[in-house]
Amino acid sequence: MMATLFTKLFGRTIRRQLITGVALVHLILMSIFVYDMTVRQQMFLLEKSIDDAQYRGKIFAFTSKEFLRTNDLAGLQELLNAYLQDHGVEYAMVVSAEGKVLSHSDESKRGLFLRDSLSLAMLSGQREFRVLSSTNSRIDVAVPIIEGESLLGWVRIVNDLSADQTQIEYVSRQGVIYTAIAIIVGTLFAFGLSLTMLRQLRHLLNGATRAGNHQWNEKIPVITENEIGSVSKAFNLAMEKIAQQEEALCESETTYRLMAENASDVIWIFDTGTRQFRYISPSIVRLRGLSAEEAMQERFEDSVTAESLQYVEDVSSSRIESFNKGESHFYTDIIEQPCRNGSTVWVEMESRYDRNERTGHIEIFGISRNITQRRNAERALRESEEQLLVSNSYLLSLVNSTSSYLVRTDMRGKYTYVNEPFIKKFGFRLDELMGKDAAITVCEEDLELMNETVVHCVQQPGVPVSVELRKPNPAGGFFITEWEFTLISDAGGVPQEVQCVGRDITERRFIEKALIDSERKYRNLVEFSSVGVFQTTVSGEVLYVNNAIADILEYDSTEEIRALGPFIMYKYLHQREEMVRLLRANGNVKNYEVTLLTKHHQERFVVFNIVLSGDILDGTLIDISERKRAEDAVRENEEKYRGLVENSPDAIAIYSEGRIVFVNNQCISLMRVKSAEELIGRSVISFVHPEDRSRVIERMKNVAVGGVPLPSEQERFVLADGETIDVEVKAIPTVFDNNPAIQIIVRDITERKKNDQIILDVQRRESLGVLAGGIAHDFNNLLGVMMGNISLAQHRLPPGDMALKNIERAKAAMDRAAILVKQMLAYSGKGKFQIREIDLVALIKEHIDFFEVSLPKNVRLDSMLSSKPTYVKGDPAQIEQIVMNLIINGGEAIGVKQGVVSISISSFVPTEEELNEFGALPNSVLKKGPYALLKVADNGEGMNDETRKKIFDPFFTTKFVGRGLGLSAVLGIIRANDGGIIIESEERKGTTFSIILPLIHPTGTDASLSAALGVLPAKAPETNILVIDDERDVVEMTIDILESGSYSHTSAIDPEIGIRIYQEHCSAIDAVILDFSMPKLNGKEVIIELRKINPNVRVIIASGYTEEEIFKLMGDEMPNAFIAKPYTQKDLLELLKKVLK
Amino acid sequence: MNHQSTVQTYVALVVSVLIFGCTKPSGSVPGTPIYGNESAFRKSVPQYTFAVHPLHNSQYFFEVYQPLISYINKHTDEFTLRLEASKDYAQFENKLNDRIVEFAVPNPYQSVLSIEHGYSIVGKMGDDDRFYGIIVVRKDSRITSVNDLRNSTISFPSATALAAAMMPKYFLQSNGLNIAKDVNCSYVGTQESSIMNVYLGKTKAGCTWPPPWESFLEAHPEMNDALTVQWRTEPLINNGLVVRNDVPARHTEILTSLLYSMHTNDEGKAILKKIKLSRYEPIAQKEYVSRVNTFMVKYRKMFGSLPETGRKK
Repeated sequence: MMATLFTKLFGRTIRRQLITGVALVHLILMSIFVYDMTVRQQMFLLEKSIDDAQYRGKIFAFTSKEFLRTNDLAGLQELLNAYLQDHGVEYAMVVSAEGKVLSHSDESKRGLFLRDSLSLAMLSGQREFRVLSSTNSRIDVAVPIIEGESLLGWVRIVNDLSADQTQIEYVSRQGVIYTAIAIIVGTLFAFGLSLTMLRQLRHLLNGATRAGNHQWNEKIPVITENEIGSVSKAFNLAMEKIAQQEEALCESETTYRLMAENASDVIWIFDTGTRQFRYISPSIVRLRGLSAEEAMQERFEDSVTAESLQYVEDVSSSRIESFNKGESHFYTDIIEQPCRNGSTVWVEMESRYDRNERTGHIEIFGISRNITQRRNAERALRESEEQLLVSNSYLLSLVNSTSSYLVRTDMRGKYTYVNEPFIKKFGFRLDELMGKDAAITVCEEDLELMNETVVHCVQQPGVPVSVELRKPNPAGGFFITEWEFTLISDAGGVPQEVQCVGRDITERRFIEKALIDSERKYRNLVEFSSVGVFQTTVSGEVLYVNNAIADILEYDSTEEIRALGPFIMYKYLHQREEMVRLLRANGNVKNYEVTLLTKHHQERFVVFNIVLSGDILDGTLIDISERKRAEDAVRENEEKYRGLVENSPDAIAIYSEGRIVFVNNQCISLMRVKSAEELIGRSVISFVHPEDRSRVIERMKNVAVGGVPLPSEQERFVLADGETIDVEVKAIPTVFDNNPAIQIIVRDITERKKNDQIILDVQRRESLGVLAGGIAHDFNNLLGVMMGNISLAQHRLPPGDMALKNIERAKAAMDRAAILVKQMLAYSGKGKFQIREIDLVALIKEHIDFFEVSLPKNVRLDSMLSSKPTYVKGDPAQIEQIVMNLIINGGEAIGVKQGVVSISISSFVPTEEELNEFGALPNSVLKKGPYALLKVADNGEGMNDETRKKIFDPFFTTKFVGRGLGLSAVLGIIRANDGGIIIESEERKGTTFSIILPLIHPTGTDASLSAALGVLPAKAPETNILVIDDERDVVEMTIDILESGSYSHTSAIDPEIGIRIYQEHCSAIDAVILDFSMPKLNGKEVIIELRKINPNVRVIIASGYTEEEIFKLMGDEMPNAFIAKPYTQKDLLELLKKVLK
Repeated sequence: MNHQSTVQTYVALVVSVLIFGCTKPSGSVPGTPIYGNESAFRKSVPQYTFAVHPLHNSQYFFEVYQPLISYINKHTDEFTLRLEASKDYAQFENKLNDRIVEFAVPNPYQSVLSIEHGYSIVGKMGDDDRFYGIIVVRKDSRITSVNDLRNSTISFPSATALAAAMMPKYFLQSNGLNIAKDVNCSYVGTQESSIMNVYLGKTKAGCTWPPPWESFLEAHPEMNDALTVQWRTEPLINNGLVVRNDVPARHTEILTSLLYSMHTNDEGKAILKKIKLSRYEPIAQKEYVSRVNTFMVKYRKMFGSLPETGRKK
């Protein structure tokens, strides 16, 4: 009932449906939306309230713990009151684990017990946060207060949610208003939409009504572009097509009707069920003189002659039977039909059977055509054939007049007819042939072939059989003839004769043979050629390739290449594309080089010569791989030799026709020019030293004339920058650019000559050394004997003897001789040395006063000595002698003017080059490593080169009176100590002697180092004290005190050594007793260094200064304690105890 | 149906939406709590409060003493104990003065004073040799003699803290310092505060006694580098165990017997170790009072009076 009413109200029209639908949809969706939103808002606010309550509760529980622990209920109440000032709390309380109210927002409740079921559930339940109850307006939560594992109580808070509820109600009201607005807007929208949509639908309805009335051509107006508009358009399109189809149908009907009515043939349809014609076209009137209506009313039996009726009846039943089996045929029959005027016509009738679906009868669709005239023509033809026989004789003459041969034989092979050309050609008379066996006109070799041909003719009557037969030539030889044999049978098909038509093809055969021979000859040429021959199309089809191509490209057969095509063989396909482009442009390519790949992917370099004919490429291919490889090898060799020449360490030049034609890089470098162009074209002689030119010109001539290489010869070249160098030149005759030339190889030997000279000098000195050593040794022995005997003689002579004065003089001379011998031994390096580890610095310092007094007063001695010990191995006396010699030489070089001799000691690590310089020989034996460098320099007169060369010669001197071996002895001593020397001297500026001696580390442990430097040995550390004092006595005294106090100790008289000892053993040293005043570093500086090693180092400063003065001097670097010198055993031990505490 | 009636129908639809949509939802309020004068839980055994004078802050105090309370509760079903901390000495003393707690562990001075408020001394903590005061200074303070503390501030937990205040004061005074004139005494409430004041440089020295000092260093090992014990006093008898006189004797006996036997089992040992105590032991009130008074007499003689207890409320 309601549904009916609703349908009546809202479903009657589309407009109502649409408006109602939209309104309902808005109502439903908006209601769901508003409801969902309200519920979610409510849930959100509730969750937020719970979170908020939980958070607040936990904070409050945490805060109240302290009050519960101390049972401070008043404090707890204060805390609660403070908490209640927060908004939204309806009431709150803290209860004990037993449910006693400890504090409450309503203080009157304090001390009471909770007794309601909700509270009791909280008290007896899990110790966790819980929501006791929640409504839209309030939420009641409880938080446990737990200390460790103990429950101290519960915080219970009831929050007022009325503000949230108001918010939810407001949201709900807004949602309802939005729903109402949405319905109104949706309804208005639906109304507007329906106006447009219904207007279009009305037009569509009108159109459909017109279509029902066959008013196809009146279109529906399309006023909207929506789906209804599209339906309207489609409807219009469909109506238009229907109209067109109806028109076409009318036209087609008219056409067929006209065709049927105007056709010369009669079209008809015969119903076999009623045996009546269902349709006969109007042309029946032309066939039989009857109108179509008359013919259709005529009985079938009356429409054909009796013979034809019989025929039609005979064939109809079988055809209907065949049709019923599903076979469908066109049938052609010839029947005779009567005409209105009593005559008959022959009709050719084509028919097909079909079933009329409406009646179920089988119908015959037929076309009848009048063939009366054709039949008459056939009759006339037969008559004309008869007449043709009459003109047979005429044809005979025609046969004889042709160049072809025509013969006939009977079935036994006897000639029954030959024509004139045959008789004439083969030189027979007619009588010699007629009735004779045809074999007489055929060469014996072809008889069997002829017989077989006849047999074939008989087997295929009427079909010409071709055969080629040789016939004897009356002039000798034979003719080659070509025949066609045809069997002629009578009307009953019985073979009567064989007719043979032939012609002479002798000449054609000879031409063909010649052609074949020629073709074979060229084919052989191509096939067996080493040059590849091919024929391809532009598109890539291989028409022909010869065996050579297969061989070159390593294919098994030419067929394989033809099958694969040419593209696979090109390594670079662009080469073929370029070649085709050239062919199209020029018609041919010559010597076109490409890279092909063999079947096994090996490269083959080939040259193509190709002619393009239409789309065909005819060409040859020559394999040039070997030639290429040979060329590459030549090129490689050339590059290799060019490289050898270009990179040769010797300068190489080619000299031809009086000028330089080639130079290598080394030649450019040697001659000090920027480029080869500066040398090419110039004469070699221009670079030769003027003094050597005549000799060189002579040598060049000898080479040019003699044609044989000349051995190397030393010459001098003047370089581009003017410097003269020594060179070794070799000249070799050669050919350059097909011209005779001389290859000149030049090697710079300047350095080598210098080294040779140095070696010579060294060898000379070594020889001298050996000689001096030998002499000195023997002379020393003799001198020993002499001195011994003279001493004995001196003792044996009575005092006051006159000879004693002579003996004294002789003894003095022998003392000088002994010194000389000693120097000679030193020079030879065979002296008796006391080699030990010495501190070079200390040694020089020790003798510095002595050196100073050795110099004249106008010469000052400056010393620059390292602050660190510099240890070397050597005989201290010899080292002292070296220094003394050099200082004295320096002083003498200065002469009478004011001057300075300086001495310095340092250490360094020389490079290999510096070592060579110091060793004075290439590949010197001086070992790599650190060396002590002793320099003695003066600002005297200096030396020239000549003097410098001889300075180490024994007994060489520039002074008026020499003092013996001098510097030669220095050299010997240095050499004996594995050292080296360099002399740098410049005239009027001075001389510097630099001597190096291998630097050593003092052997042994710290003890040996200490021994060398005055450091006392240490005991095994327990409480270990390091004593640093430059006064040995003080050190020893301190050590005695330390030992008396059972302290272990280590000591150093050099502060630097002391620092080193501390650095290495800081972990074992407990305190340091440090002198303040020391020569190298004072106490403050030592403390700074020690604290860098260990900031917590404990230091006692010992000094003769007062404590105040020391502390002032120490500044920020205060020691741990101070002890005044001199100190007693008690003072030191007590202080140590205090410091070490 | 004409257009007019259709429009009327739609208007009715919208109005009904508005009317039904604006209906106020109803909510229900659950019942408020119900209170009574007696607990809903049936009381089967009495509950006593056990208080200890403020050795530590209340949180740490609960950590170390709650196991002891649990131990007692576990081993008796005749009563239950509830631990109660005090935020400072005054509060603790007030609890004794007001007889709020049934059982307590006051310091010796408080123990003796509690007798006046109706408590009896029934036992004491062991380890008397560890009951002494210590004076802590910063290592970098260069304080080597008592005189170095002259004109400086010294922190104490409370004036009535025996080991941590009275005994150190006695020591300093004995060594030449006039506490009243030469130093400023700062009473900071707890043992940790006394130490922390030194570390933070607010006081030159701080007084405490071994258990809180050791606990403090365990919690803050880095303090070892900064603080050092410069002096320690002579030892005295350890803290007492007092019980309110209205507690049934049987319950006192149960409690004391449990306490005195704790050190004989592993569980008890572990609890005592946390408190840094080897045992609880019995002592006669007379003997205890006598030993404490020996010191009190000396103290009074030196300072003229004893500190008052429980002043702050």
